[in-house]
Amino acid sequence: MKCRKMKEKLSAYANGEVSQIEIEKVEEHLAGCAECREILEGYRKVRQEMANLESCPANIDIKESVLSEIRKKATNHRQIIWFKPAFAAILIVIVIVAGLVIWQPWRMETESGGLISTVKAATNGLQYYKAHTVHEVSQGYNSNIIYYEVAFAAPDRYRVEARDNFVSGGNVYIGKKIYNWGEEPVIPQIKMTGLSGEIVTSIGIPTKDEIRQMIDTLRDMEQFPDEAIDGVICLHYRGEIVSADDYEKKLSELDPDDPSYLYMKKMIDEMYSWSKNRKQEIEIWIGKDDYLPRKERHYMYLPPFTAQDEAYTMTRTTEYYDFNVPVEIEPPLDAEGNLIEGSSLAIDYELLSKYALNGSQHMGINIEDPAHQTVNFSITVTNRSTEIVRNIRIMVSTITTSGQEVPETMEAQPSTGGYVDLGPGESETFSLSWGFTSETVNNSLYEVVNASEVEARYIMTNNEELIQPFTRHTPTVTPDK
Amino acid sequence: MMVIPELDNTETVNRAQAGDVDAYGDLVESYQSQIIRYFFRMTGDTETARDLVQDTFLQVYKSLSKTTPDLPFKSWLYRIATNNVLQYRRKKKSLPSLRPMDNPGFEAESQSVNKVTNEAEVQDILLRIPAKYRACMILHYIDGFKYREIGQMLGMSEDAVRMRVARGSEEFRKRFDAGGEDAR
Repeated sequence: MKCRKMKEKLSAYANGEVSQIEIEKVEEHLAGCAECREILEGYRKVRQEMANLESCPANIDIKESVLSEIRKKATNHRQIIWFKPAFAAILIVIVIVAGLVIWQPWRMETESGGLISTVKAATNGLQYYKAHTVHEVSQGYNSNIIYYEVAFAAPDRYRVEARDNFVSGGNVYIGKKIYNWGEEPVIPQIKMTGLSGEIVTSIGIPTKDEIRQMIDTLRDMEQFPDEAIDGVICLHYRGEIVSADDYEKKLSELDPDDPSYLYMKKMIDEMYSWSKNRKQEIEIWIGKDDYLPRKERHYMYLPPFTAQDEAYTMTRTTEYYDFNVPVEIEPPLDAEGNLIEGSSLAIDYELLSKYALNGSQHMGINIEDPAHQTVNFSITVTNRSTEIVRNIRIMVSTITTSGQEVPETMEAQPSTGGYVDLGPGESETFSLSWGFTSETVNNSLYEVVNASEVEARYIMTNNEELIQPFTRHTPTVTPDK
Repeated sequence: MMVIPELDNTETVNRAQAGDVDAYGDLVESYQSQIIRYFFRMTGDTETARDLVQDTFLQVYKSLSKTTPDLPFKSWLYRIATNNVLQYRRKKKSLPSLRPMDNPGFEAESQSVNKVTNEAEVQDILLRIPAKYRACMILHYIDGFKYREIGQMLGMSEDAVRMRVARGSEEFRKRFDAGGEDAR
């Protein structure tokens, strides 16, 4: 009997890692199988040889340097911008309203129909405000509380500072530039283990469209007795977010001809049946006299995805204050216009505007045929400039985790073959497929996604050669209207 | 080097969680040589191992304050360490250096003349085994962890560990039997 299971048993047997019942079975088999006895000898030899490696390089003691590093409490210049990962669309459909964008009036179905328009009018006239947010998440023994302070002067002029027990940092948004400093605390990721392997993701700051979408799914808000917040009498509402429509919509977005269709559908089915036990709640307090928001509370509960996971809870409470008190939003520059130590210019949209392409990336997996499992990668680029862009090539660097030989950088192929030239506004899709072993990508799709980097190489009209990186964190830049 | 048994270091862990840097120093001291050896056997390179272990212990300290008092420290440490070393390996273009004895700072124990193979050859073969298998092999054969313990550390089932050790050992056995042709 030369099956793989027997080999695994023999290996475990050689290592003393078999149960009593298994010992009996193995020894019974070995009595009559010379080939397996030889294989067993081989495994015992492995054990022997590996013992050669029990020594350890001496003279490496990193304790002091680690401790001194900790005591220094060095800030680093790592740039963390709160953009959502581009692949979140296929993983989780959860939206949280952050108080950190322009406050959107709620669509509340209440008896006093005039409430909505009054709230709208009140916030339209609002120029400055400040907000203080406490954001608490926990999943099992992984938990964190992050404190945010926001000072808002205009949609393109505001400051966000964040801190938790260990790090602090912030971003300031001024016109087309984003500066940051310190080290921003990172919202702990949610870990879920399911059919699709392990999914690790995080909930970031939503876009305005997502906020609008979420507001649309609010059930009727329930009104509670008025409550005073910071001395101001407020109307008090609470409502629940329902996202039952997601399933049909997500399903309709799939292409049945795509080889990864069945796999993606499985993921969505899984998500959906789990998501029915989700809870998302919003509570708001609105000033009775001025209809300006004073406080918001968002609560989310995600049940464990499987027995291996823990439930995830998030509570985010924001208080607004200093309405129309002018705020100064200044970049972190000194008198000479140089960056203050510890801060950096994270993104300069004006600089980014030299790039001619916008890109969107999609990854799919085909696991239907165990002998030919593939990762399918496609990137669509659009020429957003006013000139012709020539000789566009798309290079992809990625990894597979083990057992598969994959060259480090590969070239994706356009749909039409040959070099690609794009006129203004034109698009082209490039694709790439590679094979993998079942235990690698299934368990670490997120890691493969994370590690993939895409680069577009092309030639501009002035014969300048550009290399434009596309990463998950590159924002899509739209031309000025 | 003082080795603090698992049961007794709960108090040290709790103090480190509360921010006691000296308590954390004790933890580093008790685990660093195992982790260094783990990384060295995974990468074949002392410099890399040193950098990785430093980063790992810094990262562990940062995350420690967010954990709860009942944290199983060793398992958690090994999980972070394993993630780090597997991720690191991915950025390398080629196989890491295969001659550990050439690296400064390394002191090899001399091998008995009766042994057919030596440490460098075995390390060489080990480095050619896929990283995920290699990690389980090192943890079992060199660190002496049982499959169940390894499973707890890395967040997988005992069966999954058994499979990885078996496949890694199979690879090892094949290359080993093929003799010196593969080894440089």
